Amino acid sequence: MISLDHVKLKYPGSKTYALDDINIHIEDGEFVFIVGASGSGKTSLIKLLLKEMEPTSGKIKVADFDYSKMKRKTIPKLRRKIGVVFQNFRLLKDRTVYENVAFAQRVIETPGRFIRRQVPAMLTLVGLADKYKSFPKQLSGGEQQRVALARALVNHPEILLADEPTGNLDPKNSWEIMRLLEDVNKKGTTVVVVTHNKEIVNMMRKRVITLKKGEIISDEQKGGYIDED
Amino acid sequence: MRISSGIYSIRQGLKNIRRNLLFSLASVGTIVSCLFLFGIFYCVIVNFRTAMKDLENTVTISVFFDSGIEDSNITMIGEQIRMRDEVNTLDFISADEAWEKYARERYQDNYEEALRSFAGDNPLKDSASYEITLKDLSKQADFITFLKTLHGVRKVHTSEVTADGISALNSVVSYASIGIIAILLFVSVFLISNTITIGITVRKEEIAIMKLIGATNFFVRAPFIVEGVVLGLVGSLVPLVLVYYMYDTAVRYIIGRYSVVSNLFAFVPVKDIFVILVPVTAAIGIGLGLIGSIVTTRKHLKV
Repeated sequence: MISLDHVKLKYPGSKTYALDDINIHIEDGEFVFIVGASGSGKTSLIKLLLKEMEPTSGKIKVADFDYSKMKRKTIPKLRRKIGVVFQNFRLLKDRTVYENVAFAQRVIETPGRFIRRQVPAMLTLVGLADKYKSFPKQLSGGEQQRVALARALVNHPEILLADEPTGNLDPKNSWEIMRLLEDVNKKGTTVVVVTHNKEIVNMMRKRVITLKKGEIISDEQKGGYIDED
Repeated sequence: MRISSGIYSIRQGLKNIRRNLLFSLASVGTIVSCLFLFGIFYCVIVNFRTAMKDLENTVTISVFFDSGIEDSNITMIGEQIRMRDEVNTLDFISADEAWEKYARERYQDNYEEALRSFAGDNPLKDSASYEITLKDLSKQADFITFLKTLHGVRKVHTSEVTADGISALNSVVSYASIGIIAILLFVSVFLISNTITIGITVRKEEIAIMKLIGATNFFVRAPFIVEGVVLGLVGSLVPLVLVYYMYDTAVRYIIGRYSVVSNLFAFVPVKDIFVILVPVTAAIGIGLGLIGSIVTTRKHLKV
Protein backbone atom coordinates (compact mmCIF):
# COMPACT_ATOMS: atom_id res chain seq x y z
CA MET A 1 0.00 0.00 0.00
CA ILE A 2 2.76 2.47 0.99
CA SER A 3 6.26 1.62 -0.10
CA LEU A 4 9.44 3.70 -0.03
CA ASP A 5 12.61 2.08 -1.39
CA HIS A 6 15.98 3.69 -0.79
CA VAL A 7 14.40 7.13 -0.84
CA LYS A 8 16.73 10.09 -0.49
CA LEU A 9 15.77 13.74 -0.38
CA LYS A 10 18.09 16.72 -0.51
CA TYR A 11 16.75 20.29 -0.59
CA PRO A 12 18.33 22.62 -3.15
CA GLY A 13 21.38 24.33 -1.68
CA SER A 14 21.62 21.91 1.24
CA LYS A 15 24.71 19.73 1.73
CA THR A 16 22.98 17.06 3.83
CA TYR A 17 20.06 14.80 3.07
CA ALA A 18 16.72 15.64 4.73
CA LEU A 19 15.86 11.97 4.22
CA ASP A 20 18.60 9.42 3.73
CA ASP A 21 18.00 5.94 2.35
CA ILE A 22 14.49 5.53 3.73
CA ASN A 23 12.90 2.10 3.37
CA ILE A 24 9.34 1.84 4.66
CA HIS A 25 6.68 -0.71 3.74
CA ILE A 26 3.21 -0.27 5.21
CA GLU A 27 0.51 -2.83 4.45
CA ASP A 28 -3.21 -2.15 3.91
CA GLY A 29 -5.04 -1.52 7.17
CA GLU A 30 -1.94 -0.89 9.30
CA PHE A 31 -1.75 1.80 12.00
CA VAL A 32 1.72 3.35 12.08
CA PHE A 33 3.31 6.12 14.13
CA ILE A 34 6.20 8.05 12.64
CA VAL A 35 8.08 9.79 15.41
CA GLY A 36 11.18 11.92 15.76
CA ALA A 37 12.40 15.29 16.95
CA SER A 38 12.07 18.49 14.95
CA GLY A 39 14.24 18.33 11.84
CA SER A 40 14.21 14.53 11.79
CA GLY A 41 12.45 14.51 8.38
CA LYS A 42 8.84 13.74 9.39
CA THR A 43 7.32 16.65 7.47
CA SER A 44 9.52 15.97 4.43
CA LEU A 45 8.22 12.40 4.46
CA ILE A 46 4.59 13.59 4.48
CA LYS A 47 5.33 15.98 1.60
CA LEU A 48 6.83 13.14 -0.42
CA LEU A 49 3.83 10.89 0.25
CA LEU A 50 1.45 13.67 -0.89
CA LYS A 51 3.65 14.21 -3.95
CA GLU A 52 4.20 17.83 -3.04
CA MET A 53 7.90 17.14 -3.63
CA GLU A 54 9.98 14.73 -5.69
CA PRO A 55 12.63 12.53 -4.05
CA THR A 56 16.24 13.06 -5.08
CA SER A 57 16.48 9.30 -5.62
CA GLY A 58 14.61 6.12 -4.74
CA LYS A 59 11.15 4.74 -5.48
CA ILE A 60 7.80 5.60 -3.88
CA LYS A 61 4.59 3.65 -4.42
CA VAL A 62 1.30 4.57 -2.74
CA ALA A 63 -2.10 2.96 -3.44
CA ASP A 64 -0.85 1.41 -6.68
CA PHE A 65 0.55 4.71 -7.93
CA ASP A 66 4.22 4.51 -8.89
CA TYR A 67 5.41 8.08 -8.31
CA SER A 68 8.30 7.82 -10.75
CA LYS A 69 5.92 6.98 -13.62
CA MET A 70 3.09 9.35 -12.71
CA LYS A 71 2.07 12.26 -14.92
CA ARG A 72 1.15 15.57 -13.29
CA LYS A 73 -2.49 15.28 -14.26
CA THR A 74 -2.87 12.03 -12.30
CA ILE A 75 -1.76 13.66 -9.02
CA PRO A 76 -5.37 14.61 -8.09
CA LYS A 77 -6.40 10.95 -8.50
CA LEU A 78 -3.65 9.89 -6.08
CA ARG A 79 -4.58 12.56 -3.55
CA ARG A 80 -8.21 11.45 -3.56
CA LYS A 81 -6.99 8.18 -2.06
CA ILE A 82 -5.19 9.98 0.77
CA GLY A 83 -6.99 11.89 3.53
CA VAL A 84 -4.88 14.45 5.42
CA VAL A 85 -5.20 15.97 8.89
CA PHE A 86 -2.93 18.80 10.01
CA GLN A 87 -1.77 20.07 13.39
CA ASN A 88 -3.29 23.51 12.77
CA PHE A 89 -6.55 21.99 11.37
CA ARG A 90 -6.47 24.15 8.20
CA LEU A 91 -10.24 24.76 8.16
CA LEU A 92 -11.81 27.47 6.02
CA LYS A 93 -12.69 30.13 8.56
CA ASP A 94 -15.44 31.75 6.50
CA ARG A 95 -17.42 28.50 6.16
CA THR A 96 -19.52 26.50 8.54
CA VAL A 97 -18.68 23.03 9.82
CA TYR A 98 -21.01 21.53 7.22
CA GLU A 99 -19.51 23.59 4.39
CA ASN A 100 -15.95 22.70 5.42
CA VAL A 101 -16.70 18.99 5.17
CA ALA A 102 -18.85 19.37 2.03
CA PHE A 103 -15.97 21.35 0.47
CA ALA A 104 -13.87 18.18 0.32
CA GLN A 105 -16.57 16.48 -1.71
CA ARG A 106 -17.31 19.48 -3.91
CA VAL A 107 -13.71 19.80 -5.07
CA ILE A 108 -13.71 16.22 -6.32
CA GLU A 109 -17.06 16.88 -8.01
CA THR A 110 -19.23 14.56 -5.91
CA PRO A 111 -22.90 14.90 -6.91
CA GLY A 112 -24.95 17.09 -4.56
CA ARG A 113 -27.30 14.28 -3.46
CA PHE A 114 -24.30 12.29 -2.13
CA ILE A 115 -22.91 15.35 -0.37
CA ARG A 116 -26.24 15.95 1.39
CA ARG A 117 -26.25 12.34 2.61
CA GLN A 118 -22.58 11.75 3.45
CA VAL A 119 -21.67 15.00 5.22
CA PRO A 120 -24.24 14.64 8.06
CA ALA A 121 -23.23 10.96 8.44
CA MET A 122 -19.58 11.91 8.77
CA LEU A 123 -20.38 14.69 11.26
CA THR A 124 -22.33 12.18 13.34
CA LEU A 125 -19.31 9.84 13.27
CA VAL A 126 -17.02 12.53 14.72
CA GLY A 127 -19.71 13.68 17.20
CA LEU A 128 -20.42 17.09 15.71
CA ALA A 129 -23.85 16.54 14.15
CA ASP A 130 -25.38 19.29 16.29
CA LYS A 131 -22.67 21.83 15.41
CA TYR A 132 -23.00 21.72 11.63
CA LYS A 133 -23.98 25.40 11.46
CA SER A 134 -21.09 26.63 13.61
CA PHE A 135 -18.06 28.42 12.24
CA PRO A 136 -14.54 27.18 13.18
CA LYS A 137 -13.88 30.09 15.55
CA GLN A 138 -16.95 29.02 17.56
CA LEU A 139 -15.42 25.57 18.20
CA SER A 140 -12.78 24.29 20.63
CA GLY A 141 -9.44 22.97 19.31
CA GLY A 142 -10.61 19.37 19.71
CA GLU A 143 -13.83 20.08 17.85
CA GLN A 144 -11.94 21.81 15.04
CA GLN A 145 -9.66 18.79 14.70
CA ARG A 146 -12.71 16.54 14.53
CA VAL A 147 -14.08 18.70 11.67
CA ALA A 148 -10.71 18.35 9.93
CA LEU A 149 -10.90 14.59 10.46
CA ALA A 150 -14.44 14.48 9.03
CA ARG A 151 -13.21 16.43 6.01
CA ALA A 152 -10.30 14.01 5.54
CA LEU A 153 -12.56 10.95 5.81
CA VAL A 154 -15.65 12.04 3.91
CA ASN A 155 -14.23 10.90 0.56
CA HIS A 156 -13.44 7.45 2.03
CA PRO A 157 -9.69 7.53 1.46
CA GLU A 158 -7.61 4.33 1.50
CA ILE A 159 -4.95 6.07 3.58
CA LEU A 160 -5.21 8.69 6.31
CA LEU A 161 -2.12 10.82 6.95
CA ALA A 162 -2.26 12.74 10.22
CA ASP A 163 0.51 15.31 10.69
CA GLU A 164 0.78 16.08 14.44
CA PRO A 165 -3.01 15.75 14.88
CA THR A 166 -2.79 16.30 18.66
CA GLY A 167 -0.11 19.01 18.54
CA ASN A 168 -2.51 21.80 19.50
CA LEU A 169 -4.82 19.81 21.76
CA ASP A 170 -5.08 19.12 25.51
CA PRO A 171 -4.71 15.47 26.69
CA LYS A 172 -8.47 14.82 26.82
CA ASN A 173 -9.08 16.04 23.27
CA SER A 174 -5.89 14.31 22.08
CA TRP A 175 -7.21 10.97 23.28
CA GLU A 176 -10.59 11.58 21.67
CA ILE A 177 -8.91 12.20 18.32
CA MET A 178 -6.71 9.13 18.70
CA ARG A 179 -9.75 7.00 19.53
CA LEU A 180 -11.42 8.27 16.34
CA LEU A 181 -8.30 7.43 14.33
CA GLU A 182 -8.27 3.95 15.83
CA ASP A 183 -11.97 3.48 14.90
CA VAL A 184 -11.24 4.58 11.34
CA ASN A 185 -8.34 2.13 11.20
CA LYS A 186 -10.55 -0.70 12.45
CA LYS A 187 -12.87 -0.06 9.50
CA GLY A 188 -9.97 -0.75 7.12
CA THR A 189 -8.29 2.60 6.47
CA THR A 190 -4.51 2.63 6.68
CA VAL A 191 -3.55 5.29 9.25
CA VAL A 192 -0.16 6.98 9.40
CA VAL A 193 0.28 9.39 12.32
CA VAL A 194 3.27 11.69 12.50
CA THR A 195 3.67 12.81 16.11
CA HIS A 196 6.01 13.54 18.98
CA ASN A 197 3.34 12.83 21.61
CA LYS A 198 5.28 10.37 23.74
CA GLU A 199 2.39 9.38 25.98
CA ILE A 200 0.03 8.47 23.17
CA VAL A 201 2.67 6.50 21.25
CA ASN A 202 3.64 4.54 24.34
CA MET A 203 0.03 3.83 25.37
CA MET A 204 -1.32 2.72 22.00
CA ARG A 205 1.33 0.05 21.31
CA LYS A 206 1.22 0.32 17.51
CA ARG A 207 3.99 0.06 14.93
CA VAL A 208 6.45 2.91 15.51
CA ILE A 209 9.00 4.16 12.97
CA THR A 210 11.56 6.50 14.51
CA LEU A 211 13.45 9.03 12.42
CA LYS A 212 16.60 10.83 13.42
CA LYS A 213 18.37 13.36 11.19
CA GLY A 214 16.69 11.93 8.10
CA GLU A 215 17.44 8.29 8.83
CA ILE A 216 15.29 5.48 10.26
CA ILE A 217 16.83 4.44 13.53
CA SER A 218 14.06 2.07 14.57
CA ASP A 219 10.99 0.33 13.11
CA GLU A 220 9.13 -1.75 15.71
CA GLN A 221 5.76 -3.50 15.81
CA LYS A 222 4.01 -2.58 19.10
CA GLY A 223 6.85 -0.16 19.70
CA GLY A 224 7.31 2.79 21.98
CA TYR A 225 8.65 6.30 21.80
CA ILE A 226 12.44 6.30 21.68
CA ASP A 227 13.85 9.23 23.57
CA GLU A 228 16.78 10.53 21.57
CA ASP A 229 18.41 11.89 24.69
CA MET B 1 -17.22 19.12 -15.48
CA ARG B 2 -20.55 18.40 -13.77
CA ILE B 3 -23.35 20.98 -13.89
CA SER B 4 -23.22 21.29 -10.09
CA SER B 5 -19.45 21.90 -10.27
CA GLY B 6 -20.02 24.48 -12.99
CA ILE B 7 -22.55 26.28 -10.80
CA TYR B 8 -20.12 26.04 -7.88
CA SER B 9 -17.32 27.58 -9.98
CA ILE B 10 -19.58 30.41 -11.16
CA ARG B 11 -20.65 31.13 -7.57
CA GLN B 12 -17.06 31.09 -6.36
CA GLY B 13 -16.01 33.34 -9.24
CA LEU B 14 -18.72 35.87 -8.36
CA LYS B 15 -17.77 35.55 -4.69
CA ASN B 16 -14.15 36.37 -5.61
CA ILE B 17 -15.34 39.55 -7.29
CA ARG B 18 -17.34 40.53 -4.18
CA ARG B 19 -14.45 39.72 -1.85
CA ASN B 20 -11.99 41.88 -3.82
CA LEU B 21 -14.56 44.47 -4.74
CA LEU B 22 -12.13 47.38 -4.91
CA PHE B 23 -9.65 45.60 -7.15
CA SER B 24 -12.49 44.19 -9.24
CA LEU B 25 -13.86 47.69 -9.69
CA ALA B 26 -10.39 48.93 -10.64
CA SER B 27 -10.12 46.20 -13.28
CA VAL B 28 -13.59 46.84 -14.63
CA GLY B 29 -12.82 50.58 -14.61
CA THR B 30 -9.72 50.06 -16.74
CA ILE B 31 -11.51 47.80 -19.19
CA VAL B 32 -14.36 50.30 -19.34
CA SER B 33 -11.95 53.17 -20.10
CA CYS B 34 -10.07 51.07 -22.61
CA LEU B 35 -13.14 49.84 -24.45
CA PHE B 36 -14.82 53.24 -24.14
CA LEU B 37 -11.88 54.78 -25.97
CA PHE B 38 -11.95 51.89 -28.39
CA GLY B 39 -15.66 52.58 -29.04
CA ILE B 40 -15.06 56.29 -29.54
CA PHE B 41 -12.08 55.62 -31.84
CA TYR B 42 -14.14 53.12 -33.76
CA CYS B 43 -17.00 55.62 -34.26
CA VAL B 44 -14.54 58.30 -35.32
CA ILE B 45 -12.66 55.97 -37.66
CA VAL B 46 -15.82 54.61 -39.28
CA ASN B 47 -17.10 58.14 -39.86
CA PHE B 48 -13.68 59.33 -40.98
CA ARG B 49 -13.30 56.44 -43.42
CA THR B 50 -16.80 57.01 -44.78
CA ALA B 51 -15.99 60.68 -45.20
CA MET B 52 -12.71 59.77 -46.89
CA LYS B 53 -14.55 57.46 -49.25
CA ASP B 54 -17.01 60.22 -50.08
CA LEU B 55 -14.12 62.61 -50.56
CA GLU B 56 -12.21 60.15 -52.69
CA ASN B 57 -15.22 59.94 -54.93
CA THR B 58 -15.07 63.69 -55.44
CA VAL B 59 -11.40 63.59 -56.44
CA THR B 60 -11.72 63.02 -60.15
CA ILE B 61 -9.19 62.53 -62.91
CA SER B 62 -10.10 64.14 -66.23
CA VAL B 63 -8.75 62.70 -69.49
CA PHE B 64 -8.82 64.99 -72.54
CA PHE B 65 -8.33 63.81 -76.11
CA ASP B 66 -6.30 64.92 -79.15
CA SER B 67 -8.00 67.45 -81.36
CA GLY B 68 -10.12 65.89 -84.10
CA ILE B 69 -10.05 62.39 -82.60
CA GLU B 70 -12.60 59.92 -83.94
CA ASP B 71 -15.49 58.86 -81.66
CA SER B 72 -14.47 55.21 -82.11
CA ASN B 73 -11.03 56.02 -80.69
CA ILE B 74 -12.61 57.74 -77.67
CA THR B 75 -14.72 54.63 -77.07
CA MET B 76 -11.59 52.45 -77.33
CA ILE B 77 -9.75 54.61 -74.79
CA GLY B 78 -12.79 54.31 -72.48
CA GLU B 79 -12.74 50.51 -72.74
CA GLN B 80 -9.02 50.37 -71.94
CA ILE B 81 -9.61 52.51 -68.84
CA ARG B 82 -12.65 50.52 -67.73
CA MET B 83 -10.59 47.30 -67.72
CA ARG B 84 -8.32 48.63 -64.96
CA ASP B 85 -9.06 47.27 -61.46
CA GLU B 86 -8.49 50.57 -59.65
CA VAL B 87 -11.30 52.35 -61.52
CA ASN B 88 -14.36 53.11 -59.41
CA THR B 89 -16.46 55.19 -61.83
CA LEU B 90 -15.95 56.23 -65.43
CA ASP B 91 -18.15 58.90 -67.02
CA PHE B 92 -17.93 60.40 -70.47
CA ILE B 93 -18.47 64.16 -70.64
CA SER B 94 -19.11 65.37 -74.18
CA ALA B 95 -17.89 68.79 -75.36
CA ASP B 96 -21.48 70.10 -75.25
CA GLU B 97 -22.00 68.82 -71.70
CA ALA B 98 -18.69 70.39 -70.67
CA TRP B 99 -19.69 73.75 -72.13
CA GLU B 100 -23.12 73.61 -70.48
CA LYS B 101 -21.58 72.72 -67.12
CA TYR B 102 -19.06 75.55 -67.46
CA ALA B 103 -21.74 78.03 -68.48
CA ARG B 104 -23.90 77.09 -65.51
CA GLU B 105 -21.01 77.58 -63.09
CA ARG B 106 -19.65 80.73 -64.79
CA TYR B 107 -22.84 82.64 -65.69
CA GLN B 108 -25.23 81.11 -63.16
CA ASP B 109 -28.62 82.79 -63.73
CA ASN B 110 -27.64 84.03 -67.20
CA TYR B 111 -26.29 80.73 -68.44
CA GLU B 112 -29.16 80.10 -70.86
CA GLU B 113 -28.40 83.39 -72.60
CA ALA B 114 -24.72 82.43 -72.83
CA LEU B 115 -25.64 79.07 -74.36
CA ARG B 116 -27.90 80.82 -76.93
CA SER B 117 -25.26 83.37 -77.89
CA PHE B 118 -22.72 80.63 -78.64
CA ALA B 119 -25.27 78.35 -80.31
CA GLY B 120 -23.58 76.11 -82.89
CA ASP B 121 -20.15 77.40 -81.91
CA ASN B 122 -19.05 75.54 -78.75
CA PRO B 123 -16.06 77.45 -77.31
CA LEU B 124 -14.99 74.21 -75.55
CA LYS B 125 -15.26 71.99 -78.61
CA ASP B 126 -12.05 70.13 -77.76
CA SER B 127 -13.08 69.58 -74.15
CA ALA B 128 -14.77 66.19 -74.33
CA SER B 129 -13.32 64.06 -71.53
CA TYR B 130 -13.57 61.01 -69.35
CA GLU B 131 -14.05 61.74 -65.65
CA ILE B 132 -12.68 58.95 -63.50
CA THR B 133 -12.82 58.24 -59.75
CA LEU B 134 -10.58 55.58 -58.18
CA LYS B 135 -11.32 52.94 -55.55
CA ASP B 136 -8.05 53.71 -53.78
CA LEU B 137 -6.48 57.13 -54.10
CA SER B 138 -3.01 55.88 -53.18
CA LYS B 139 -2.84 54.27 -56.64
CA GLN B 140 -3.49 57.54 -58.44
CA ALA B 141 0.13 58.25 -59.51
CA ASP B 142 0.57 54.86 -61.23
CA PHE B 143 -2.83 55.18 -62.85
CA ILE B 144 -2.00 58.58 -64.30
CA THR B 145 1.24 57.22 -65.78
CA PHE B 146 -0.87 54.55 -67.47
CA LEU B 147 -3.36 57.13 -68.81
CA LYS B 148 -0.55 59.20 -70.33
CA THR B 149 0.65 56.21 -72.35
CA LEU B 150 -2.73 55.81 -74.07
CA HIS B 151 -2.76 56.80 -77.75
CA GLY B 152 -5.09 59.77 -78.40
CA VAL B 153 -4.85 61.24 -74.89
CA ARG B 154 -3.86 64.90 -74.95
CA LYS B 155 -3.97 65.82 -71.31
CA VAL B 156 -4.64 64.24 -67.92
CA HIS B 157 -5.91 66.62 -65.27
CA THR B 158 -5.70 65.73 -61.57
CA SER B 159 -5.56 67.24 -58.13
CA GLU B 160 -2.56 65.25 -56.89
CA VAL B 161 -1.95 67.18 -53.69
CA THR B 162 -5.46 66.48 -52.42
CA ALA B 163 -5.18 62.78 -53.24
CA ASP B 164 -1.83 62.37 -51.46
CA GLY B 165 -3.04 64.35 -48.46
CA ILE B 166 -6.16 62.26 -48.01
CA SER B 167 -4.28 58.97 -48.34
CA ALA B 168 -1.61 60.03 -45.86
CA LEU B 169 -4.14 61.33 -43.32
CA ASN B 170 -6.15 58.13 -43.62
CA SER B 171 -3.06 56.01 -42.88
CA VAL B 172 -1.88 58.17 -39.96
CA VAL B 173 -5.29 58.09 -38.26
CA SER B 174 -5.59 54.30 -38.73
CA TYR B 175 -2.10 53.48 -37.40
CA ALA B 176 -2.34 55.91 -34.48
CA SER B 177 -5.69 54.44 -33.44
CA ILE B 178 -4.43 50.86 -33.66
CA GLY B 179 -1.36 51.81 -31.60
CA ILE B 180 -3.32 53.54 -28.82
CA ILE B 181 -5.90 50.76 -28.62
CA ALA B 182 -3.16 48.08 -28.49
CA ILE B 183 -1.49 49.85 -25.54
CA LEU B 184 -4.81 50.16 -23.70
CA LEU B 185 -5.60 46.49 -24.27
CA PHE B 186 -2.22 45.49 -22.88
CA VAL B 187 -2.82 47.60 -19.76
CA SER B 188 -6.22 45.93 -19.31
CA VAL B 189 -4.77 42.41 -19.46
CA PHE B 190 -2.13 43.46 -16.93
CA LEU B 191 -4.74 44.84 -14.52
CA ILE B 192 -7.03 41.81 -14.80
CA SER B 193 -4.02 39.60 -14.16
CA ASN B 194 -3.18 41.71 -11.09
CA THR B 195 -6.72 41.44 -9.73
CA ILE B 196 -6.74 37.69 -10.16
CA THR B 197 -3.31 37.37 -8.56
CA ILE B 198 -4.72 39.19 -5.52
CA GLY B 199 -7.73 36.84 -5.54
CA ILE B 200 -5.38 33.86 -5.62
CA THR B 201 -3.30 35.29 -2.77
CA VAL B 202 -6.41 35.89 -0.65
CA ARG B 203 -7.56 32.31 -1.27
CA LYS B 204 -4.09 30.76 -0.97
CA GLU B 205 -5.04 28.51 1.95
CA GLU B 206 -8.27 27.37 0.33
CA ILE B 207 -6.43 26.56 -2.92
CA ALA B 208 -3.74 24.63 -1.03
CA ILE B 209 -6.43 22.55 0.72
CA MET B 210 -8.24 21.99 -2.57
CA LYS B 211 -5.07 20.66 -4.14
CA LEU B 212 -4.32 18.35 -1.19
CA ILE B 213 -7.84 16.96 -1.27
CA GLY B 214 -7.47 16.10 -4.95
CA ALA B 215 -9.06 18.92 -6.92
CA THR B 216 -8.05 18.96 -10.58
CA ASN B 217 -6.20 21.93 -12.04
CA PHE B 218 -9.28 22.84 -14.03
CA PHE B 219 -11.52 22.81 -10.94
CA VAL B 220 -9.08 25.05 -9.04
CA ARG B 221 -8.72 27.44 -11.97
CA ALA B 222 -12.37 27.58 -13.07
CA PRO B 223 -13.60 30.19 -10.50
CA PHE B 224 -10.75 32.54 -11.46
CA ILE B 225 -11.51 32.13 -15.14
CA VAL B 226 -15.19 32.89 -14.38
CA GLU B 227 -13.99 35.96 -12.47
CA GLY B 228 -11.89 37.17 -15.42
CA VAL B 229 -14.67 36.60 -17.95
CA VAL B 230 -17.27 38.38 -15.79
CA LEU B 231 -14.92 41.35 -15.27
CA GLY B 232 -14.29 41.48 -19.02
CA LEU B 233 -17.96 41.18 -19.90
CA VAL B 234 -19.10 43.87 -17.47
CA GLY B 235 -16.19 46.01 -18.62
CA SER B 236 -17.39 45.73 -22.21
CA LEU B 237 -21.11 46.29 -21.67
CA VAL B 238 -20.75 49.57 -19.78
CA PRO B 239 -18.77 51.38 -22.52
CA LEU B 240 -21.13 50.04 -25.20
CA VAL B 241 -24.09 51.67 -23.47
CA LEU B 242 -22.11 54.88 -22.89
CA VAL B 243 -20.82 55.11 -26.46
CA TYR B 244 -24.28 54.35 -27.87
CA TYR B 245 -25.94 57.22 -26.04
CA MET B 246 -23.04 59.61 -26.52
CA TYR B 247 -22.80 58.98 -30.27
CA ASP B 248 -26.54 59.13 -30.79
CA THR B 249 -26.86 62.34 -28.76
CA ALA B 250 -23.82 63.96 -30.40
CA VAL B 251 -25.03 63.19 -33.93
CA ARG B 252 -28.56 64.45 -33.17
CA TYR B 253 -27.15 67.61 -31.58
CA ILE B 254 -24.74 68.39 -34.43
CA ILE B 255 -27.36 67.73 -37.13
CA GLY B 256 -29.95 69.77 -35.26
CA ARG B 257 -27.68 72.65 -34.35
CA TYR B 258 -25.28 72.87 -37.31
CA SER B 259 -27.21 72.08 -40.47
CA VAL B 260 -24.14 73.13 -42.53
CA VAL B 261 -22.22 70.16 -41.15
CA SER B 262 -24.94 67.71 -42.07
CA ASN B 263 -24.93 69.10 -45.63
CA LEU B 264 -21.18 68.54 -45.92
CA PHE B 265 -20.88 65.33 -43.96
CA ALA B 266 -23.16 62.30 -43.61
CA PHE B 267 -22.79 60.62 -40.19
CA VAL B 268 -22.85 56.81 -40.21
CA PRO B 269 -26.12 55.70 -38.52
CA VAL B 270 -25.66 54.46 -34.94
CA LYS B 271 -27.20 51.07 -35.81
CA ASP B 272 -24.67 50.48 -38.60
CA ILE B 273 -21.83 51.15 -36.17
CA PHE B 274 -23.19 49.00 -33.34
CA VAL B 275 -23.90 45.97 -35.53
CA ILE B 276 -20.13 45.54 -35.57
CA LEU B 277 -19.11 47.35 -32.39
CA VAL B 278 -21.26 45.22 -29.99
CA PRO B 279 -19.87 41.78 -30.89
CA VAL B 280 -16.33 43.10 -31.33
CA THR B 281 -16.29 44.94 -27.97
CA ALA B 282 -17.90 42.02 -26.11
CA ALA B 283 -15.41 39.62 -27.69
CA ILE B 284 -12.49 41.88 -26.74
CA GLY B 285 -13.80 42.23 -23.15
CA ILE B 286 -14.30 38.48 -22.71
CA GLY B 287 -11.02 37.81 -24.48
CA LEU B 288 -9.14 40.17 -22.14
CA GLY B 289 -10.70 38.43 -19.13
CA LEU B 290 -9.86 35.00 -20.48
CA ILE B 291 -6.27 35.86 -21.37
CA GLY B 292 -5.68 37.65 -18.04
CA SER B 293 -7.14 34.82 -15.96
CA ILE B 294 -5.63 31.91 -17.90
CA VAL B 295 -2.15 33.41 -17.90
CA THR B 296 -2.35 34.20 -14.17
CA THR B 297 -3.79 30.85 -13.06
CA ARG B 298 -1.25 28.96 -15.18
CA LYS B 299 1.50 30.91 -13.47
CA HIS B 300 0.25 30.55 -9.89
CA LEU B 301 -1.88 27.42 -9.70
CA LYS B 302 0.26 24.45 -10.56
CA VAL B 303 -0.71 21.24 -8.71
